[in-house]
Amino acid sequence: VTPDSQRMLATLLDIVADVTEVERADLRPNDVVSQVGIDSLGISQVLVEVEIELAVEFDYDQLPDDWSELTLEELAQAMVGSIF
Amino acid sequence: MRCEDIEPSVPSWDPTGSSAAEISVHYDFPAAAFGLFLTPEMDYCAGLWRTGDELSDAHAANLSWFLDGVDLTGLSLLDIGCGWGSAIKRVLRRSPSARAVGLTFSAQQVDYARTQFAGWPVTILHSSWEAADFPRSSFDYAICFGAFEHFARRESSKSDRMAGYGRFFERVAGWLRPGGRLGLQTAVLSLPATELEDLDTPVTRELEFVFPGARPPTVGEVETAAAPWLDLVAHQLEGADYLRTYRCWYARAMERSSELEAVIGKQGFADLKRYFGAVLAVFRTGQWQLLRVVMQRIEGTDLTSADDVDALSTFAAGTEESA
Repeated sequence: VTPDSQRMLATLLDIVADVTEVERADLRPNDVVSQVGIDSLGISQVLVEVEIELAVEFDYDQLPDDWSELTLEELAQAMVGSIF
Repeated sequence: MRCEDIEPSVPSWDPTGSSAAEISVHYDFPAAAFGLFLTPEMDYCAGLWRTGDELSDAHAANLSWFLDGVDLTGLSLLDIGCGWGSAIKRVLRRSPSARAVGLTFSAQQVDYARTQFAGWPVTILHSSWEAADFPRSSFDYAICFGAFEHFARRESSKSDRMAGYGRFFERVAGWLRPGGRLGLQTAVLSLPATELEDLDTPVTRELEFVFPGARPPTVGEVETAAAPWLDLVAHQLEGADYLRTYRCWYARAMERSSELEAVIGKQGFADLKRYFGAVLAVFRTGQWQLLRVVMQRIEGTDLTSADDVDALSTFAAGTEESA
């Protein structure tokens, strides 16, 4: 079952909290990726952990090249749209 | 078979790749930790993935790609960068009459593999390819999976890299019998020429931390350096296989996070995931690809591999008898 945007966002927030060690309760959907401490390596960890958690695979060609200025909600939407 | 260390001959050139100390940074990581996310055979290279494959199937398929059409009966195999001996083990399972020599620069891998292969027709040598030497025409097949990335340094000039790669192919070709083959699997850089010499990004800096003294080649460098000594038989460029393999290792590591943290600590586990993330990033963005290539020794070339040495005369005699 393809996860919807809400489930993707919830999973993304959990994993971002884990990777960045930011309190989950302190993360908001409109937080910008680069401002929550996700760098180019961190985003790679986040992507693969979301794939594992939701048992999906992303088509990376469909994901934006520069996600650093996306909000977490926008990133979650992009992830949903890039599932194989 | 002899299992003692080869007495390294002093190379007549400066080592061109990772030093033993640099190799130990990653490969002397506790085998117990690797064992928590690798296959039971300890395969530590990309699998070849087909629909529905599990990790171990993908590693078996990878080896099969290289051995396609090869008669394994009595095969004499050289594994350059043999790790914990997974490929050797898989070959000997398929062909109990085969025999093998494995080279690794990691002391812990040597200990592990020698324990694994006690009583098998396998010799594990603690040596780089540069320090090792074998009688000419000793082997039917040589494999080198996931080690070639260590045969040149990030800071090396292109001419130094090419000279080192050329020496590697020349020596391996000399160790192969007429018609013998080399199966090489390596990550390769897939970047614009202007970016090839610098390689200074957050991801490559992270990988320098994990694999100090290492630098993948380009496809062109492999082909050019090998051309005087080896003919191309088959090749494949498939970065998705490494992406999927690393994703699988990541998932297995996550499943066994408590056990991993018990072995390598919380920070060690975080570092492991960050390393996986870095490799996934370079394959995901296409900066790295995976090259598989099978090459065959060119007949009639003036191979200048060193003359016979005593260290492996027993092995050589055995392979001659089995021919």
